Amino acid sequence: MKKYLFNRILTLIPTLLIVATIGYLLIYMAPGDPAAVMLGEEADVTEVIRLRTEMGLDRPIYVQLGRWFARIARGDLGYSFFLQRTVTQAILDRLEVTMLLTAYSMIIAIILGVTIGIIAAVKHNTIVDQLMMGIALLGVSMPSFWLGINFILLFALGARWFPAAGYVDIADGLFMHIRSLTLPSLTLGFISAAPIARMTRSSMLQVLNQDYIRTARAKGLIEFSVIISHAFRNAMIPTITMVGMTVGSLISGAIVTETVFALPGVGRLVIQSIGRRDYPTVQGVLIFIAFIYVLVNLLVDILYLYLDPRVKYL
Amino acid sequence: MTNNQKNQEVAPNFFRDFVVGGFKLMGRSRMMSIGFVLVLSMTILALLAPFISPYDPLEINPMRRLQSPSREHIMGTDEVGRDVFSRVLWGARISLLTGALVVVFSNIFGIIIGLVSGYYDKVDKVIMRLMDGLMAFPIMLLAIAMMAALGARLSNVIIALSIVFAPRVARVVRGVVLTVRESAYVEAAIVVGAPSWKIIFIHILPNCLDPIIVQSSFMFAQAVLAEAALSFLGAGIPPWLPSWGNIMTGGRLYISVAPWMTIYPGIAIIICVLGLNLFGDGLRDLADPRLRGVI
Repeated sequence: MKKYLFNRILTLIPTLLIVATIGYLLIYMAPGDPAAVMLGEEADVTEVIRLRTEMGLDRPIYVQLGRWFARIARGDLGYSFFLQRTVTQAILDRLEVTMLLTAYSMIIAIILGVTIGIIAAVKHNTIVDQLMMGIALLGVSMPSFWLGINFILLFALGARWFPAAGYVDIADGLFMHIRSLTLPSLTLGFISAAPIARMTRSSMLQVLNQDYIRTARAKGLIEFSVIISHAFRNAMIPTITMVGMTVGSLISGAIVTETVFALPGVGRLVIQSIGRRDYPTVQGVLIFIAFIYVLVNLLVDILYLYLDPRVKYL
Repeated sequence: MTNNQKNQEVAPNFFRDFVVGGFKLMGRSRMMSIGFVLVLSMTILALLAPFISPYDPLEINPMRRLQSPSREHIMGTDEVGRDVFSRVLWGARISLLTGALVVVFSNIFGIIIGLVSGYYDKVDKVIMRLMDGLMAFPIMLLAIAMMAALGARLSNVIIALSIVFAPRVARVVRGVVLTVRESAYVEAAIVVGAPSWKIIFIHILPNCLDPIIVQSSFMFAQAVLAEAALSFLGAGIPPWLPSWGNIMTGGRLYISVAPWMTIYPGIAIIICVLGLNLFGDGLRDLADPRLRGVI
């Protein structure tokens, strides 16, 4: 197992290098000279040339890439002239909102998804099953921002239970904090619950047909305990894969959701930075999120080893 | 099991199954027929938009701004007095066209990359690492970054989303190629000296069509959603073109006074994407009967 872990971590290196390269080249391709864009339209030509040299833009592309890798390795994602601070600092300032939003949404997605999935599987081929799967299907077919806007319309502008936009820090009161993130988390959670529900249902259906479930019922266990401790425990592994895969869509969704609810998170930072052509920030966030995403996938893989003793990866 | 039977299992004749069995299955699978009808009707509405839309989708009429749904404007009007219903109809053209072209391009790139990568061991590792790298970015983030680099234009939305989806097609195709490559009839083709391109296109490619067709309908659905989200974030189709995402972006600012501007295009997206997903589920059952009723 140690050998597997070691190899798995080794394969991260080329992936991360490619991610960093793609991140660099994407912005490199952007129209306009990065140095000129940074200094604004009224910048002096000599100024631009000086900044180009400073940024190493006059060097061959492989030298630029080499420097870029070295900088990332030191945790230096560049400097944003617009924000007047390092990109790393800008991301860290806004990370809390995004992480909490993602975490709350994930909790909601897991609770909703697993419950819907189990109910649908237990009531297989009944109207309840169809209803549950209908809800799940609606969840994968709905634009998250549309759901968010409707939540705002119903619960913020209509019922006035929650604020329509903005974020309250935990330090300013837990209740207000939760209240400010309720609608965004519900939006993102509901959308992400759908694939988890579908996966839970299908893996539960496979497990429920097995002999040991019949045995558990035959020895007189109550149905609840058969379903939760016998069936669901074994059906959990595909569900966890799905939860791991959901992280990517949660991050994608967070970008959109933060924009809908005007939350000061990393996702909104990207959108705002694109608007003001603050390319170092766009690049930095791109690399940062992709690295996080790669690491989460690694964690999910490692989690398997503990959850499923059959997976040995010799 | 003889080799012959084995090959039949690897290579189901999708088109025959589809033509003969497709309509039969649609008769049996209510969900798939509902999906088919939804997608078909959306397509027909999109095609007929120039004939059935009551107003010009770009016609500005300040006298009639922000009117709630009425007999003249069944979905109301927007902030400059354009008819929302006409815009939703025309929006269907742009959104569906974007989705369809993304499916076409990501399939072309994905299939070529997958075939080459699966067939030629030497390049496999390099290509797949590159694909892993592309897939390491969350879909929306990569699409947004690419739009930032390329600029907000309809063609760029299609390019960006195709680049995002192509690695996913490539991975599926490569998986099929790796299994099919080992089968007896491919070995036989190599032995009799068939050129590589012939083996790849005539013997291997047809086996990939099953999963590709199934995946295409889901990809179509995701592309429609992604286009809407990109336009909503202002990194998509230019604002003056009526796409479903764009209509909603405009509506967002007027949500408290004119919710119809946001609600109706959203419903159009849901109908279209729901139809595609239902259809995709049905197709998957058709391609793999073992999964019927399970997933």
